Amino acid sequence: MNEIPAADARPDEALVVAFQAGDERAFVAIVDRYKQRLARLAMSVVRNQEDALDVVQDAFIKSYRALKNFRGTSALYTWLYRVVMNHAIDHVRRRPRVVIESENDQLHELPDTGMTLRPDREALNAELRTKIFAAVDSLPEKHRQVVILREVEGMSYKEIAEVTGCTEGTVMSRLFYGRERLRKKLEPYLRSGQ
Amino acid sequence: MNTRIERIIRTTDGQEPDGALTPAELAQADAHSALGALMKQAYAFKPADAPLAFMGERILARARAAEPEGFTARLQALWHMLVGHPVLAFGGTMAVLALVVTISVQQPEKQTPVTTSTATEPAHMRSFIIYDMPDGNGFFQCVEYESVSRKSNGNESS
Repeated sequence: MNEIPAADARPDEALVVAFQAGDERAFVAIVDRYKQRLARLAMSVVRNQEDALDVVQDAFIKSYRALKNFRGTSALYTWLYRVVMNHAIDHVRRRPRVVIESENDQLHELPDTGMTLRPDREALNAELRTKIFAAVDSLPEKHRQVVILREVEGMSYKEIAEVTGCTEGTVMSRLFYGRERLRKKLEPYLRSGQ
Repeated sequence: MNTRIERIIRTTDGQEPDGALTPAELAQADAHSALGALMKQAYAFKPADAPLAFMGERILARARAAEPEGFTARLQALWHMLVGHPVLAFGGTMAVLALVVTISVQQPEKQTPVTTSTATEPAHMRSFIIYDMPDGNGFFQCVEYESVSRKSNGNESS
């Protein structure tokens, strides 16, 4: 008889308490619960699946140690988001900057690097996707972070503030300026609808 | 008269968002909304399942195998940093001292009865007017202005 372990349905707080009490399976449950979302977040920043997986794994390993002292002052998932985001940003900083010069740049090759497009989303053409990525890349790091968390991950201002470690007012300020810069860069595409 | 606007929240009370926005603001709100939709499409990639399989177990194994960070390890790391980067250590110490001095100097003034007329340097202010949109996306208008704080002794004519 095949036994597929059911997903652990305990809330995050219970998993953290269990892990801190010595139940390491609780940590596995936390990883299983958030690995998809965090991998997607990492890919939004590093845009390479292999690097994204490294980032997420390194972040989880760091979390394994830090979770023992986690006091629950923020929600677990915002805390995890913060760890992954910081790792992803550090990774990008260390990586040589890719200059987009032609349409044959790797950014076009997303479908070939193991990532699949969600079936419910109509695929953008390659040129537009490149423009969008380039525009987001051109943002200052603090603006880019907030824009990705809001527009891609759909987080609330409060959650973004927890992840980034700043106030909601600062989140709004960065989001406002980030959006305005993107709007100016992508204006022709916004007007035409694509 | 001290004027300071921190935040104004204006919620639209109907289905149409243009009840509270000017045409220019509406165009900006629409652009922001379209931008968000474009970004969601551009970043709509799903991590492949295979590499994520058994990630929890693999991470657990790696975490157990790695050297645990203990107090001794942290102390060693700090020592290496100080010895290897004396300039960094000195600079960091000076920065901390400077911060302590700055905080000490910038204690808020106590509220005392106004007896003199003074005009302070205009301070640059930034506030956000937040509109809650029916689609859940908040649109906010950034207002930047200078704020002048003036105190009077009551004898001045306005």
